[in-house]
Amino acid sequence: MPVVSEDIWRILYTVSRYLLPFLAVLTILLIFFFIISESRSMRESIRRLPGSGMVGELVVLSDSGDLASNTWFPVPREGVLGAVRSCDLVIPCPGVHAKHLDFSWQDGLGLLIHLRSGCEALVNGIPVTCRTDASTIPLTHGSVLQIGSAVLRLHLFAALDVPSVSMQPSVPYEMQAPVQIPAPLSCDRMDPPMSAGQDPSSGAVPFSAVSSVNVMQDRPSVSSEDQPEPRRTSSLWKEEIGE
Amino acid sequence: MKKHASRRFHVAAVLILFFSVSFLLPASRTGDARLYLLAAAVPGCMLLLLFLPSGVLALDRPSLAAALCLCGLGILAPAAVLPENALSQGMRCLAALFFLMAGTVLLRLFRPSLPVAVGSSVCSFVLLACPFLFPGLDFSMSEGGTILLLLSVSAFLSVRARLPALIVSMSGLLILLLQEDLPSAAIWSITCILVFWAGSGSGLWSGIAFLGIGALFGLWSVLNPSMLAPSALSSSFPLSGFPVLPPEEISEVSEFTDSLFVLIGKQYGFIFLLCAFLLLLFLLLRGASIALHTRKSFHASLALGVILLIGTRALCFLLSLNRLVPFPAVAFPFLTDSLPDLFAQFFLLGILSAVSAQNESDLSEDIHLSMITH
Repeated sequence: MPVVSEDIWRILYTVSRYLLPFLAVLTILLIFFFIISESRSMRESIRRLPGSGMVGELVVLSDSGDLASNTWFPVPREGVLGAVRSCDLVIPCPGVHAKHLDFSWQDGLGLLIHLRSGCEALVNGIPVTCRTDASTIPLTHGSVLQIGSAVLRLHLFAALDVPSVSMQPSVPYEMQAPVQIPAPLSCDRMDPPMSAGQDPSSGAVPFSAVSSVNVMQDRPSVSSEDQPEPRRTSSLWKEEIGE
Repeated sequence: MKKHASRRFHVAAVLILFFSVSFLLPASRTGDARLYLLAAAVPGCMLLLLFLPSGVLALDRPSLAAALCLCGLGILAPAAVLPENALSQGMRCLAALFFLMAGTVLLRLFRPSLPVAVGSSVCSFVLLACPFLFPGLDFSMSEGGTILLLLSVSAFLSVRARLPALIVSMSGLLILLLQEDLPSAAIWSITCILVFWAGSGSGLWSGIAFLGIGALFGLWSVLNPSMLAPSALSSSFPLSGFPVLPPEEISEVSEFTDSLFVLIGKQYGFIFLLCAFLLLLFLLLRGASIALHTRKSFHASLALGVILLIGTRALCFLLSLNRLVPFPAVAFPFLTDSLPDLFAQFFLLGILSAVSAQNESDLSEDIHLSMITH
């Protein structure tokens, strides 16, 4: 194999004494910027899709504590609901414990809630405790969750693999009449998810805000021609994305 | 996208230039064919992995670049004086790359559920108990067992089975203590407490884990007081110097007994040591970023566990190097000549890559769904 003469090697060695540390520092800097730019890109993508990673939203049905009616909370796939700021869903209402319940989304079933020890809730008027099997009372589109003095309706985003339910008109929830459980809305009535590149700072109303207001109103029939675009069912969504 | 490709190209270009020059310089003096081979193979592998199409194997490029750079330093450390060791270290790293792919594939197939969690915990116990089951075994399986423990504990926590998670983690710790693998036990303990804290969302369970671990360590130290005596560490190394010292000026390195980290310090000085630390720090930061962007608690606790296992190992290395803990020295992550350790660390990197790929897949699906509606 080729061997250079001693003089040339000395020159190479002298150059490399400065070149190699320079390249090492440059490598470190470039890897650092590479990592930063990848993380920034991910954050930017998430910022442009405010509903990204959310399965739906919980809308406050009646004034309670610090919560005004129609306030909505985006619901992630998994998390903790409670009264303290460290929770994923912060519900600052009387009767809500610091960490009241855990929730997790399960495809094909809905949002499962797991109450913590000593905590109670009502799902569609049915009492739930930490001993209740969560899979027996999943929250689906339109389900009403009562925790302490807070009454919240779950509004799922479209394109989620939720069970099909019969289409019934939206019925205002009445706290004092738990027997009259409002029937969940059909998948056909779901709104489409948020548009790509929608910037919340641009003044445009996010999809979730619009849909939460819609939930509170007596909406016209789904077949109304006033709708900006036809509503899609879960199956149609799947066809469109090629599944 | 173009911007990222450009950054990746810059990183790859500088890495190739750095490692080519580093290997070619001693090769041009001695004419050693092995060094010429390394000068071509090391940058070539880096180029291949950094530009492998994402459809072939979803790898997290930033963390991979940092890990490959660390491995390259590990190959470079003995190259000038012991080329055969550099070549064998290169072969070890090449073999470890298969575990990187194995980690990626495993996590794609892994679905957290109770049976899967129980199965992986049984496998982890078998791996951890290998020294008892096969006394003739001359290499440690602790790191592999710890990774499976992490998988099972994360799976248990994701299905809200906290008590089984606690029992499995305590049992794993007990086995590690029984085989007197104190560094691995300490690394697993710290990881376990923090994963419990993050995964259960409750200080109560991490407090119980902390108390359990404290009780096990207390009991063990009472039964084995001699094991806590400070061990002799490798000789000190200069924290300053110039890179690529001529062979006649290099301190005597007759055997491959020093750790690779110490060898880097001896031959290349403080700047390269600092670079190794910074690379590991970047890797951990990237892991933390991946853990923060996950959507499932299983992936979050797993990514957190991965960076904790790597970070705690580096911390233990530093503490043991400075004789602050009564441990035998552990190797710096990715700068080790131990094959099982290298396999385990690349496996962890593969898991991190798979979690990152899952994040990107979730995000791109959201973007796709948003676009087809408008």
